[in-house]
Amino acid sequence: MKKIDCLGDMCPIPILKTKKALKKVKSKETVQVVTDHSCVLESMLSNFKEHKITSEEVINGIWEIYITKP
Amino acid sequence: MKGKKNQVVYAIVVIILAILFAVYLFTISPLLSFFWFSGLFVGFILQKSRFCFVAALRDPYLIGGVDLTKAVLIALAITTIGFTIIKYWLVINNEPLIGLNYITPISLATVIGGFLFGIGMVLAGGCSSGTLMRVGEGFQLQLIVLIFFIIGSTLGAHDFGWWKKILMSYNKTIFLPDFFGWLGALALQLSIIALLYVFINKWGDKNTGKY
Repeated sequence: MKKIDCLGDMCPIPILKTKKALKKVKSKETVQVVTDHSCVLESMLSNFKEHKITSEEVINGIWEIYITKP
Repeated sequence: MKGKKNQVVYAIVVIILAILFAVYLFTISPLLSFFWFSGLFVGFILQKSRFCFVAALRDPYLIGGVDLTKAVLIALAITTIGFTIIKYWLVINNEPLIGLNYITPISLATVIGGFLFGIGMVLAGGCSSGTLMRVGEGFQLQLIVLIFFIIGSTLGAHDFGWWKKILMSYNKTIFLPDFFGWLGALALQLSIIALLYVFINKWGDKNTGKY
């Protein structure tokens, strides 16, 4: 699984990095995004509408988001 | 490295402190405690809804996302209707209109200010409300933004007279109901918002999620 480290990145950089990564992976593959910016999950949900997205807040203020390409 | 702490206890303590502070404010002036609660509720809604003016203006260009842009347009439409009702109510009761001294002439200052603020908010990752909300959340990066936000606002207020003198004093102040009547102004503003909504909706259909 491809992992994208977005710690310290503010919107929209996590979205742009994810977009770039998703272009490279094949269908059904999952990308993991690690972020400390609270708005990232919400903008992932609104920008990757056809993708399957799950998330977990692993430490307070750190989120791991999993995005599967359709 | 799993270390998520339960924060419910902190939440209860903060709520109790907020209520105690409201009671204290109420003894000074009931209006102050109303301001305190409305501020808290606006902050709560901002945080929970992830409402973000920066993303609303930036994302359609940058990533093709339009959800927040639509939310901002809907919010503008609701405020337009709400404020028209409040002001019209004042007019039919022969009371002085509030907020008229906030109407400033359209000028180059609006364009320059919008451009500068636009660059600043995209680099800082937050407009004023978003920055305040995320500082409240504990996002330390934006504490730096907040410091410079305060410095910038102070400088802006300091130089406002100069901007007013060189750019704003030549233009006429435009208050839409003076030109179109209350209903006409309301209809005009709502139809512009509706047009923008239709446009951004089409833009979204064309640009969202194409990867």
